[in-house]
Amino acid sequence: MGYGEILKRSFEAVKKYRWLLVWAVFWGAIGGGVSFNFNSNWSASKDSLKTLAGVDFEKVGEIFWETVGSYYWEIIRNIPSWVFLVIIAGVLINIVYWFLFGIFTRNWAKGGMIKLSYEAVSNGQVDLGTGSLAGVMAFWRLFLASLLIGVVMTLGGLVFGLLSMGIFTVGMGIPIVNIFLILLWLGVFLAVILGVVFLLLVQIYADWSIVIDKKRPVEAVCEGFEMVKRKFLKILGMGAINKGVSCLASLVLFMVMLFLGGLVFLGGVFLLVVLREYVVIFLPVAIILLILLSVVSSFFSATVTALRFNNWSLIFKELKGEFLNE
Amino acid sequence: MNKYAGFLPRLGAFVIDKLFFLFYFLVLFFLVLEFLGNDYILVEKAILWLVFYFIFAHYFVWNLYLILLTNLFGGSLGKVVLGLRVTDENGRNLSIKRSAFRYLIGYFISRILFYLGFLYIIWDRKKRGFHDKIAGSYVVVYGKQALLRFILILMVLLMGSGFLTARCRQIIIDKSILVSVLWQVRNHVKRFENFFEKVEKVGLKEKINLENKEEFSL
Repeated sequence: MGYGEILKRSFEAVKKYRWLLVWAVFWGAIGGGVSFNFNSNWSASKDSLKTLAGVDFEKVGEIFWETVGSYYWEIIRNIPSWVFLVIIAGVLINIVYWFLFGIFTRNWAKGGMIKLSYEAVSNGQVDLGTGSLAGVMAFWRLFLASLLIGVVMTLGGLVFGLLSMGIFTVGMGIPIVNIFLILLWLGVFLAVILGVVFLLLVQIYADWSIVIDKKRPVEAVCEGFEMVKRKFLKILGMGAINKGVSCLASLVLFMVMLFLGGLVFLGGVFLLVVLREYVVIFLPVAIILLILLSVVSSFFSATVTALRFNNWSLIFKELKGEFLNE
Repeated sequence: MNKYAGFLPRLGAFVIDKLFFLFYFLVLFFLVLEFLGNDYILVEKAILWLVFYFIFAHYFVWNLYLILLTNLFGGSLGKVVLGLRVTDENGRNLSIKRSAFRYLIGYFISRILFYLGFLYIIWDRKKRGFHDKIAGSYVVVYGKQALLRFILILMVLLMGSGFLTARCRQIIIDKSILVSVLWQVRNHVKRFENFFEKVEKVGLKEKINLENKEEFSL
């Protein structure tokens, strides 16, 4: 099956199954996929805020803390020391809990997304229950597989780092040797990049294998390794197309949001300057508009995410020889 | 087969749960005030305690309440009062695992898109929100006269909260000695005076709105 056919089928599945899109929204919100979340550059805006109306708020803050803040310090000083131990324990429990929560939800959502995309391109059952169950069944194995790949990558990175240090230490001071070693280092660097791409593709295959074929992590990674070795160019091509689609979607989303966000902003400035009394009406309208923009951008990102996952599901099916009869 | 519970009864159950927790906070506040001793920063200390509680423990207490009650009685206090029950596909109470999944992950998912997961109950044929679909749960009606019970429990909770608020106010008045309070006010004023003096010294007086300075000078 050509890439064009894959993209066409993926898009048809995205249009057909709304739950796939909803799940993709979860996946995007939990941390995967293309996203555009109205993140403002706080550090950049801080400077302008700092000098707003010519007042150095940092200085005022310092003075405020020196004079009034000591009063609050007095309250804190009155708290017995064991309370601080309880607080430290509370902080630790919270950190551990949210860390585990993050690992679980991410892998659960990934498992659900893979299952739903696979079902969508196979004309199977696509609903939240199916996705959730698949995610619950696979989350632990998905986590272990990603851990395994992560360990291999870290070890590879360490070896590369040591090798680089060795190469540059040996070659110091001898120009001809230096040129040779730099070329050698570039070769190793390219090999490392290739290795990372290879491992990422292995992980993608392993993820699908874990969720769809219910394979164990090591087994899935080994199978992924074999498959990527055999069909490297085909899988790499799909990865490149997916990356291209993501980048293009991010760019389009950014431009549209910039335009619409700019309109809302300019409208706000206009109302503030010309029709000051209408600011009470404008503020809620602006907030509703921003929420709507956020929802639309989430669904747009979800469409791209679903498309990407469907592409991988179709490639997975093809690699497993499921389209041989077509 | 029991009827599926719609959006409004479930919203009512949620309101009762939230009111119940307001009542519980007031009990906590009352206990903290009662056992903190007598001093002029009593109120601040009590508030600080509650802030710590909110930051570190409230999430766990709230979820534990939902998970355990759903497992034991088929729903939180609000649901039980309104005759609603959270069940699995076989009509049994949810297991601890499934209940935890419903509230920790399911609610999180339902909240993600501006609470759309909860609003979806309105449109779904079986009145299931995203959290129900994800956890494989159903909310069914099994009791009668839900409205009467709702009004009764609402009144009890509101009256209880009102009584506790009045009691806390009384403790604050009784325990915080008047002289201490006046001393505290005087210190506050002095501190703010110092603050504005220092602001003036670094030449920022014109840039900050000091119209209210007279109020602090007393």
